[in-house]
Amino acid sequence: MSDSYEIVMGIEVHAELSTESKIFCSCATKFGKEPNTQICPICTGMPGTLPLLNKKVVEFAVKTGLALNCSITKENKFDRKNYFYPDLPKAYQISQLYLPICRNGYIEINSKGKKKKIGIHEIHMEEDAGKLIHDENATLIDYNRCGVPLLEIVSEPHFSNGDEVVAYLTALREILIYTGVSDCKMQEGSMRADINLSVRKRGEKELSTRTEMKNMSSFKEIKRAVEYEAERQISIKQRGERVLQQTIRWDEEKGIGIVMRSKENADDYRYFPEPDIMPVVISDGEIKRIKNLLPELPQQKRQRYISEFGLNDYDASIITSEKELCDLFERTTALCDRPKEVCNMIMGELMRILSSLGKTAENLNVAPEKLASLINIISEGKINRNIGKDVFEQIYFYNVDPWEYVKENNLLILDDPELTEKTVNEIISENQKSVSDYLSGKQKAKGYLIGLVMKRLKGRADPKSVNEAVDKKLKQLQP
Amino acid sequence: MNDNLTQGLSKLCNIALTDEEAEKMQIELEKIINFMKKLAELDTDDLNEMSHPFEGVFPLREDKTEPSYSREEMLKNAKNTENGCYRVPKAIKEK
Amino acid sequence: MKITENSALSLGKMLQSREISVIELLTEYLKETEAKKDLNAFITICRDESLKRANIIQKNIDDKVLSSPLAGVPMAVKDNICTKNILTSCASKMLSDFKPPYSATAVERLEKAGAVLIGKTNMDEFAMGGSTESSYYGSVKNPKDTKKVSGGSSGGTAAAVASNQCAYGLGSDTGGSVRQPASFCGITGLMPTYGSVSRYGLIAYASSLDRIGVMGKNMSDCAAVLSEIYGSDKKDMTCSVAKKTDFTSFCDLGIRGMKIGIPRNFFSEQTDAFVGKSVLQGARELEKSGAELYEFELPLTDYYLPTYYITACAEASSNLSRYDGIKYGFCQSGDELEQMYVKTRTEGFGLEVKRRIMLGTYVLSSGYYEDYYKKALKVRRLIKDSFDDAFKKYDLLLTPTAPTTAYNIGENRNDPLKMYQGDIYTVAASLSGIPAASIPCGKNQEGMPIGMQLMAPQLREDVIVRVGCAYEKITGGSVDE
Ligand SMILES: [Mg+2]
Ligand SMILES: [Zn+2]
Repeated sequence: MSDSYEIVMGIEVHAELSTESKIFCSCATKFGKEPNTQICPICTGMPGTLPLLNKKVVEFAVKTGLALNCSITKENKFDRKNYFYPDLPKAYQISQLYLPICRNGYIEINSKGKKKKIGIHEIHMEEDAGKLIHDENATLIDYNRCGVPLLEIVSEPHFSNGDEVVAYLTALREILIYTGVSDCKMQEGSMRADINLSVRKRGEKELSTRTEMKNMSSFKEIKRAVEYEAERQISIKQRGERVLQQTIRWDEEKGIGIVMRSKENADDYRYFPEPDIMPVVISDGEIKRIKNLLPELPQQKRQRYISEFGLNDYDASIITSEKELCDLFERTTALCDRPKEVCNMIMGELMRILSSLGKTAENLNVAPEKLASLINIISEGKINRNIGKDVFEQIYFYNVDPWEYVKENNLLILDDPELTEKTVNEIISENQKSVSDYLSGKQKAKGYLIGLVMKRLKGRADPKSVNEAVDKKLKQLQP
Repeated sequence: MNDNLTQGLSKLCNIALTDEEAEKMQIELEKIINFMKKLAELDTDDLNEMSHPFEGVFPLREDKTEPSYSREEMLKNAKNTENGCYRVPKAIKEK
Repeated sequence: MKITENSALSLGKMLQSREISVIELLTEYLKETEAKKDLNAFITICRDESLKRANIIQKNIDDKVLSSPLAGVPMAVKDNICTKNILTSCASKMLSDFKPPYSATAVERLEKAGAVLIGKTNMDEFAMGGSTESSYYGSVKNPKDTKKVSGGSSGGTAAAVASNQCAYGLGSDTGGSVRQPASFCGITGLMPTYGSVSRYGLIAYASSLDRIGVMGKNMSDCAAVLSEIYGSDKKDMTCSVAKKTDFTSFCDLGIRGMKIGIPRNFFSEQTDAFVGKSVLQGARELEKSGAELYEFELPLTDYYLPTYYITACAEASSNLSRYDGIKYGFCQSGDELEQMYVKTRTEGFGLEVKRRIMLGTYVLSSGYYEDYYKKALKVRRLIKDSFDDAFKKYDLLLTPTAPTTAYNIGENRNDPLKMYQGDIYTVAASLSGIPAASIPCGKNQEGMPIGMQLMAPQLREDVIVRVGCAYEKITGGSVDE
């Protein structure tokens, strides 16, 4: 990428809210149902039907706004956005243009160690559209998703690279999940991000023509798409040509953007106030009530983990990135009062298992009581750390009780100097080659011998006493 | 007002007019729009728009589900359906 | 006197006292609909359904589980009000085979009170018009003179009531569509306060103006019907301010001391002289019964129509976008999506509907929104304020319903602007959200009925009922002599 250009980006995130029912009717919002089995006359816009606004949607919007440091609009109105498309059965989307429910917020992000405030321009409530299934010569329409409540969260154009975009989306996703307003599953489309991107010569003040990119299904793809598009626009400019205002669909398989349509003539959506919905007034008392519902947010938690539990910044960030990890960490620490040990077990063993299984921390089946008990057993020196790792696996996969498991399988640390000495003698006499290596100066050989002793003692010996016994024996053999 | 008024509107509305109809429509629309221009005489700078004839606080719906309509009932008024879906000619242009 | 000439309330009494059975009464009305087919008042006659229903209602009356004053009385419903599994066409080719899987709340409430739906009435396409000439199913003829229009857009219900093809009916009123046809056909039409009767199931023309209204042979009938449908509904967010009320209890209260305002400028030169004279004569009759009359000047009259047409057409252009051939109604297929849209909408809508969609699209489109739509919303507030002011002084306002009596079929068809001007006196109540009624007050030299409009503050239908009933008492009732 040429250094003489800089990228300017803004993001529009659409997050589906985790309500039971749709925004304007009582149909369920469950994902993955048979096509058109969660629809009714209202969400398909049949003649004579009227929208009935879901209270929870307003509450979730306010909650999100408060979590994102926004000011809340007291008198809310809805507007109609008019356009024809088969996924929009009324041919208008009920949205908010003139008076969005939240404005002027921000999120603090941490991208590659650098902190930055990203402005939130506005958040508004709207309805989702249906799903189109294209086959060779026809398009089939499934309206199940039609009317699922959405928040559109519009950032300021404050991003200058893909890492910042990912950091922002990560932070936003955390907050939406923490507050319980959305499950933010990108694969299921419950979180979608459109990126507005333009490039300009460094030092230029004015914004250049931008494109809008859609259809990225993961943060990784978003980063790829951003990089692709920035390169493309820079090379256009370098050729002295003009970037066209276009909507671009990201093709993951090909790794390229495909122009959906040109927007040279701005769309005329003919927005006007929705006459079927009365203004929604949010009182100060209501805002206060919702504020009290707000949980501790990831950023606040992170700070607390560092100051209260002495975790380092990195560990604190990883654990607070998932609500499930926080729950496990906090509840286990409350039981055993060894935050660092708990953190190490989560960062080490749990993360290793999760990544080897390709899983996320969702639906963790590790009971804090069992983890706390294991950490106590290890910390009190009753078993070896390595055996502790095995026990953790047993807890994770078979839900064993750590103490009983240790006892049943004779895993307690050995306190038997005679057996240790006997075993050291056996190993030394069986491995003369290593002994002579050691004696000729190869330090490594000692570790190898210790390992063999530990192995023969099934890992249960106290590593310190084995170490001493081997040392002593080797010293005796020194010429 | 330009000659393309009717043409532009016809595009936005997805309604086609024959040349003859368009010509007539243009004349009528101009007449009506001129009539509507009368509102410009009034000073309304300090007024709020009135988008509802009633003002007040209105109850919202609780977030509770109710059984949806059956798919058959929903689809029965549609002319083209396939596999439990509404069917249209292939939508190429995306929104 | 034929049995079908009775008022709905007296028929209800006859049914409760078993003077006649539900099925006998219905059969008489069905005969009338057969005999008066030429008026073209109905789009659908629900013969089989109504006969079936009559039997059920009779059983409920016999079992004494149904004692509503309207139980068993046949009604007609305008074809833009949804009736479950019965064609609801809006008199448009676009919905010429649409059978909704639900009924309007108003219909449901009346059916619960024992109403028997005899049929769905003809109207201007999508309620856009003042003469019922824009119907896909052809014009409705005025029962008083079949060369003349029945008014619109609820011309079908008006003609059906006036010609005894039903005892009462539902219409819809967006800019005068209940009151003006009532006036043209010589019946009573009552438009309640915006938001007092649920719009659920009323196919939208202009959402912030649309109301279901009642049409009957007299004010007492209208009061009885309104009592059944009035009050908040969970299916309509904009309908939550009104409490269920028995309006028949106001019929006999009289009007002594009531202050009636008469806005002088509603009697201007565009009002037919005979119409103006008759309405003022009517006012004087009320004065004799103890009301006080006050002439005054109501401002802004010249701005009513532009404000109304901008608002109504804008909302209509959006409301009618859903007719795209995909989910219901007429569909003309094409090879491409765009083509399907255009063919469906071009062939499915009539000319007046297209004109209003285009106008509405124009006033909302970028560059014009501020000067037209937004401006109209502001002027709408001025107009409403002017009515609020008037109601500080007067309990009721009295005006002509329409500037003229029914005109000849075809007379205004080619001049939309002239047609729009017929709404001059009705749209103000529509814009202000207030209730208004038209009651018959005499006839012109040709014998065509004249309507007197009564307007009251929001939620004060009781005042209208009192005045209407008092007037009927003075003149001996408005059931056709
Ligand atoms: Mg949006
Ligand atoms: Zn629904």
